[in-house]
Amino acid sequence: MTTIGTVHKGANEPPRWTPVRVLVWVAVALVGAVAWAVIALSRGEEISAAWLIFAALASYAIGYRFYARFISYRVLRVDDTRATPAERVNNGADFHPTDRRVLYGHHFAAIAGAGPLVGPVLAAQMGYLPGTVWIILGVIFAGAVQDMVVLFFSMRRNGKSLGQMAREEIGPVGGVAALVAVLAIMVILLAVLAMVVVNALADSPWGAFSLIMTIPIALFMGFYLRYVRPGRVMETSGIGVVLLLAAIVGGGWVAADPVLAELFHFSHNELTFGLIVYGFIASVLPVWMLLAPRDYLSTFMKIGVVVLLAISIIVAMPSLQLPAFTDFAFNGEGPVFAGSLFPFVFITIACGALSGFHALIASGTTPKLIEKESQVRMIGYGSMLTESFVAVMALVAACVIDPGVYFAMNMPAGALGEGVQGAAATVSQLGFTVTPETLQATADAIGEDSVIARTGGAPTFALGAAQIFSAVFGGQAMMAFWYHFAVMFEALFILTTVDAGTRVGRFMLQDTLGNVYKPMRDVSWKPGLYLTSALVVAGWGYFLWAGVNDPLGGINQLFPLFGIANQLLAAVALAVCTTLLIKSGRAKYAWVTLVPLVWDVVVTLTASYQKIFSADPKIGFFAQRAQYSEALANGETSLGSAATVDQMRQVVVNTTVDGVLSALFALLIIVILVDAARVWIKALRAGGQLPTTEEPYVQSKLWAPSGLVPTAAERQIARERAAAGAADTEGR
Amino acid sequence: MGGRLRQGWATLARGLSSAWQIARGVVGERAYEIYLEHHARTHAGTPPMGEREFWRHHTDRGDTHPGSRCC
Repeated sequence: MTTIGTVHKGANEPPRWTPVRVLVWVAVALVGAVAWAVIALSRGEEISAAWLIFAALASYAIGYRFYARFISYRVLRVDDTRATPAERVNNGADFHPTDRRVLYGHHFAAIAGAGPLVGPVLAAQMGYLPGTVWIILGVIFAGAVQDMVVLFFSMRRNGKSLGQMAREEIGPVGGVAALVAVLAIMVILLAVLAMVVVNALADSPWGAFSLIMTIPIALFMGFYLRYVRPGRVMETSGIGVVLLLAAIVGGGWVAADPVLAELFHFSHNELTFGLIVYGFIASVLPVWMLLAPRDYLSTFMKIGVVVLLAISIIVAMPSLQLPAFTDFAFNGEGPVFAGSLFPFVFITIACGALSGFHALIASGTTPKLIEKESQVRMIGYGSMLTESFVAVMALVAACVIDPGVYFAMNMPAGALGEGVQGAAATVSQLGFTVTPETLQATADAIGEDSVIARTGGAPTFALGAAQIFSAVFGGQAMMAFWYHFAVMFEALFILTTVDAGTRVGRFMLQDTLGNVYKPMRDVSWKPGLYLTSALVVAGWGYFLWAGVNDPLGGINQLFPLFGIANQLLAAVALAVCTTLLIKSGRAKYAWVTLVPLVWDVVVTLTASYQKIFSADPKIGFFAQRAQYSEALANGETSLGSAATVDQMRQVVVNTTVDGVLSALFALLIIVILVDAARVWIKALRAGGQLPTTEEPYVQSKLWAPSGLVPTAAERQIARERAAAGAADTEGR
Repeated sequence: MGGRLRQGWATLARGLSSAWQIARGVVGERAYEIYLEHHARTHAGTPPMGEREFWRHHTDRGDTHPGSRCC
């Protein structure tokens, strides 16, 4: 018999091993092993993308069932008899016990954006294998672990932010380092993402028209929700999606009309300034006008596209055109980004494997909404596995296109020579034979003038996705539509991130400046609001402008910096987690976050070291700077892809800024690590226990299942509790 | 036989309706219902905010409480 107020611990015991269960898991392990064997051992012959999908899904299943379960019950010791902040505080607004499936959707929509669609595409220059191995193993042992452990510790502290936890649990030095890391990554992240949009939409009237149309569509949705149908989010988003699809179709007509095509034809610099102005206006407008409706639209599209892509890959089963490894994995001379497999694959692919940024979300809104402690596995670990799967699909999209086309799209314009002839010759020299006709035919198929030097990953992903979609829906005739559909939703995610990120950066800046000048802290004080918004926009705007005009290719130069910044934030998060495990007397399990932390630090510091000290001008910022300033001193007027003296000076400035930033990031990592190690030693000397800021235990009165699908035992408990009149959300 | 069919339909309808509620939850459409439940529990007897007024407050919270969006 169950009475209200008794909470079951039954779910904490591992399910009993029945013969059927044993068989199922043996089968999962076998499928995974065979898939891994195929993708790792095949040389020379094309393999089907299905093997990548099987290897990923089987590995995720095993990681979730065994490793994540071990972490939640043995390491974190989740306790479902303990009330979560959502249950204790329950204020009907930001603290509210939320159905685990709803929260999973929420959390996934908050962590996943354009990131997992970009990194894997760039890393594909080394072949499909390095990226695949890192995405799958990285998420199981590092990324998903970080998200889940941060979520757990923040939940035990009423949803404290990562910065607060770093300050309180490590110390003021670690706290300040964390704050600087967050601000720095925000600026670099927004600049790199905005650059992806610029590179995808420059000289593309079709793409530019569709994206510009999202602004009136979002405004319409905003006014509709505010004044006509308040609260009808589903209905409004439905209308928005239909209008969005119409805008994509309309883009085709615009591109076909010579006058309109000229009107929506923008150069790189025009788009750059457009984005900067847009970013500023969007971040000072009230959220109901633009941000909120855009966010609804983006959530809708995000989930829809992920499902659509998964179905299409499974139905179309395309085969991979890129080899397992290219020579660039070992010689470090890759044209997309320089440097060899270690450490640069692990820097380039952050989102989808290990992304420090997620720690901000896992210590933000999600911990305040979670209903039961054991649900951190499904929400923290599970959402990250889903994002990782998105990254695998992006890698598939990059690998199904012709390798010659892939390199022609992803090399900086300066390196490719004149027109399709020059590009085809350059790429063929790399060992990936492609004809000028193929390059032109690809551009024609997607309704663009050219596919050459469309760097940034988004156009490449869009081309691969369009091939996959059109194989299932609509055939060759739909290629152009699907290409612009894919470009558009990536740009939509990015604009949402730019808008939200500028706001978050502004709030942090207002808070920091508020220490010096009080009125700044008042978030509705207009002069402060405009000033801080302008500062944040100027920050990312500078890097965007410098990147777009970088003679050596902005993505090539800035993407490693973005990866390093993201992994720096992961180092902060994992250091906080390790500190908390040690301080709470769980030093024997500290390896769970310490091993990924050490890996992350080794990778990031090696990359930073090479970026700072490498004598190879292709990799080292300062070596590159020396090469260009020497050439200038010798009176040379061109060097490499810098064709004029001005461009050479630009390279000198950019490499100085980028080099100094790399050094700053490396220094921050070392500071945080040393400060954290100090606390670890103190805790271990004190007998392996130090006070932490955990909220005291309160008995829970709620009950809910732990996983996505309730087990038979959980369904039985739900029925009994419902019959006894318990106020659980399950079954309501 | 007819009974089993009817039961099957009922199960399907229940499943679809709960899937719909989850989807509404994910996009945030249940905020007003959540507020009403909370209000009934904690301020029983006082009239709750109207729907229109609630949504205005709810959306405007975003102006001072920014939510992060990741890459």
